[in-house]
Amino acid sequence: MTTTVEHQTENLVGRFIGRSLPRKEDRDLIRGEATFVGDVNPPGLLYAAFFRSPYAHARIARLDLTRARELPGVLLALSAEDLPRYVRHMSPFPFLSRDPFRAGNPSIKFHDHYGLAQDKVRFQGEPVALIVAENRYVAEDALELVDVDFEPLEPVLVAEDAAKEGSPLLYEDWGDNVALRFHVSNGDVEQAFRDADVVVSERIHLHRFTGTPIEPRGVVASYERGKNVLTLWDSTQIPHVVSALLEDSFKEPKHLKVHVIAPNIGGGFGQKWGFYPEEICVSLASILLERPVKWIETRREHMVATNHGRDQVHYIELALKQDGTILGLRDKIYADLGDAYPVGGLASIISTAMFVPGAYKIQNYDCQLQGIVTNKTPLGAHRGFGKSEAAYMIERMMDIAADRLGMVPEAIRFKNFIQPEDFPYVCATGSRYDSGNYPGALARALELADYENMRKLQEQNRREGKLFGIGMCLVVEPSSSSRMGSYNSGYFSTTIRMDPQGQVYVSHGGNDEGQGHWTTISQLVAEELGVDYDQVYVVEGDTRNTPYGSGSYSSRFSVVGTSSVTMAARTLKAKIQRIAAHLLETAEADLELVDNTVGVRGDPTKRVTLQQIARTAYHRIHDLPEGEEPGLELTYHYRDSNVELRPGTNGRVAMFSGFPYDAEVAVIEIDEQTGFLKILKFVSVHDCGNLLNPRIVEGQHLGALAHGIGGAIYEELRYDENGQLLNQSFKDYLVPTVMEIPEYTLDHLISPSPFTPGGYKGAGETGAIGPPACLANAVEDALKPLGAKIRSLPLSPDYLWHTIRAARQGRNGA
Amino acid sequence: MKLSGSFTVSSSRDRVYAFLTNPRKVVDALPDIQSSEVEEDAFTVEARVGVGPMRGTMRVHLKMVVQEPNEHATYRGQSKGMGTTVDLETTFALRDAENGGGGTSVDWSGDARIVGRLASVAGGMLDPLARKNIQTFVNAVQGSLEQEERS
Repeated sequence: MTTTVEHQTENLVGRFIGRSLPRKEDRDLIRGEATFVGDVNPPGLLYAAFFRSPYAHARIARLDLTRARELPGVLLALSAEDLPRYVRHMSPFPFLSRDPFRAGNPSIKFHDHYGLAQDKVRFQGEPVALIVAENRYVAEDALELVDVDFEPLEPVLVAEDAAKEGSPLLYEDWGDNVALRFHVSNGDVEQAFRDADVVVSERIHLHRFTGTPIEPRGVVASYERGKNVLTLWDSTQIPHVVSALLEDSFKEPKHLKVHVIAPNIGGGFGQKWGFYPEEICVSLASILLERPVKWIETRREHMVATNHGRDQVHYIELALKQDGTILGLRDKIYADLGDAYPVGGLASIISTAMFVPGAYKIQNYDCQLQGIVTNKTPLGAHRGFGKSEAAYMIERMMDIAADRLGMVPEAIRFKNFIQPEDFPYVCATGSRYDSGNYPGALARALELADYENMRKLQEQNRREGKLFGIGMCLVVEPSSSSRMGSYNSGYFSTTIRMDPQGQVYVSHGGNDEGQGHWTTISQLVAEELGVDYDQVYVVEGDTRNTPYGSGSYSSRFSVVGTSSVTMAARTLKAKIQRIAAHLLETAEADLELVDNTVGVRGDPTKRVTLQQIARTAYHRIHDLPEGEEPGLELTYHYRDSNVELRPGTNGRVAMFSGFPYDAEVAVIEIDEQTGFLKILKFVSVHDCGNLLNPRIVEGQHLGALAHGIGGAIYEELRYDENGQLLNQSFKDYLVPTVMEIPEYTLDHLISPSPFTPGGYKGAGETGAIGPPACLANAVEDALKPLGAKIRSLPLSPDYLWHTIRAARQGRNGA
Repeated sequence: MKLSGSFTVSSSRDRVYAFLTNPRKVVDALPDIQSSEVEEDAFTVEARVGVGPMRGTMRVHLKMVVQEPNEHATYRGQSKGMGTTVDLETTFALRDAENGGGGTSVDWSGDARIVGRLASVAGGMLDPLARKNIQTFVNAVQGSLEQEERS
């Protein structure tokens, strides 16, 4: 159950915006009438299955597809040697350049991939061969007939070891395993450390876990030779980008046109922000066979072959004055990229390096980042996208430093917060934090948690020998990423059309994985144009019928998407007003759009319907004002004003635009006999600016909190010494259910962004970021009487039981 | 996965050695075999495998790579199937039984590197399965040798 308390700050509310209107999307979803990729079954459909590497690291000594090809019902079997004739290479993603940052950050190493493993395999689950058959049963049976001799190589599984000289190499031509080196700095860090009264240094690890959308990935490819058009139904967050990547990747057939359709998507969480081998291989199969081909990922494939998240080790140091003032921060990051390609982990780990200072005034900052390849599943986007790791590190360090200085954890935070009057605040790495009230949010969270009484209760529990802890954090989730030299290009395009009947069609370059775009776009457009909410229809996720755009990720829709829709509607409104003013022989400034009419304010006799305006624009163009173009249709390209697309010095650049945040307080109890952690209270005070549809924001935020709690306590991808992923199903990869999720107390602070027309800042990810730090802080607080330290996650019963036991026996449980 | 153990039979070392280095006899002692091909120093079998929720067939090929008559022998090879590959090596070392009754003790050790679906899905269930199959094999070897002794 969630208790939402009355907000203390005002939301922007109109006739439609700011209201919890029911989601238009839900009818079809609830009735099972929505179409997902798995529901797409064109006539003549064939089915694909992938033979995947059982080894984490091995040479392919011999690969023979003869027996597989001979199985009745098999139409095609492909290995890497078949691909170079058609595939140039998989186009790199998300960076197009080896040196997007320049400015002293020259090293991103690329490797040409074709979609199927060539010569070597580098992670368990890597696609080695493709089988296409008349049905899925035959395709799966044929996998048993793929004859491969592997020569096993020593797997590289620990990033820190992989970075050392002498480690086995994944890519021999690189000379080492470091795929990316990045350095960002600001101020005078060395001086800050010389001036410090206290230096707190820690090694902190954030473990590997992943997103688990209900719908795994899947594609249906259908090639039409005559038109040279490939249609790809794809469960992707980035249909236009996949279209561009495929067109760039194929060298044969020449001038291939790719039409990507992302129908209903059953969750993305970043895993579907990527360019995957299956997208290119299934497309090629359809091109070669000239028949539609379908591949739907199994859950086991999802766990081994769809990108993972997190997995970083930080050597982090804070320079502090005795009163708790932070003078500087140094960090050295070892980020485990797995096999790095071809998904977006490179971009994710750079985000970490940019935002370790978090919500605090830390201008003296130096961060050295190494992205290291290992024989694990490639790392990519995962709700929080690198900022989660940054937030975890700084929020753990705040508690650790407070403890070292003999301060309470809230005091060191209040001491160092960026203050409300500091906004817009340019952080150490160049981004401009838009707005906020961090002290106010934490104070409110503490108040809602009944903090003072909880501390008293803690004392009482400790006297009784109970392990009772209180944790807190304030995490910032920079949203709406734009990056130079990448597909995230800093703009969002919307096409809007009012047809002759007055119905409004909106199409845009993003797509929906459950966020409720149809609903929120309808709210914005109805508000601007004075039409009914049900008159608005939204088209998205279809590259042929929408303006080009980089898709949905980084909580960007509510930042640049809503801005683009609003500006498109306002531009159309201006045209409607010009036509109306001409017809009514009045001034545009006197007009208002209300209830499907345009009229003079205060004069009910001077009014025309929107349908009359539309009819004029399309069919009575001789009645238009002189110089006015026919039609009521336009495309608005909204350019993000709060990002930079040219890097500054020392790696600094403003690459994120919105800065939502969340203050969280958790009260927990640990059963010493079992190590079981119980969350007694969880408070979240969230600020994503104005709430366009409060119910949608709340749904996304609560889901995100559950996601974060899963990562903190239950979810961990574990490998054995051979690089075998040990949990490949929900039987042993523990995603929390409603039974594991506590009761929340939720409040929203509202500090509108000054950089977006609606004051929206991005929602849906912030909640996933805080719980790992908040709960780790709570656990360490509970274990304080034992002197036990928490330096890794998840906070599973066996980890806590061993930690407590070690501490009782006089050993540090870290 | 590393496993080892010992068993004792009443047969002499040369008889035990001859049995364990005869691929035909070894194959006959293996459990759950669907088909087999036997060469002079190697064999290939198709074996039924069932671990937890997974059922299927694996193709096992083993070749004798080291042998010291009446002392020890080593088979090495690979098993494939069910999205899984197992690199196998197993050694038999013979010594006189300590009971003074003229029998032979066999110290065996096996090293299996399991990669792929079975390693991930079956996890902790593989060890008891392997032990059960080995015990079945040992029982069959003991039974066959004792039958040879009697005949």
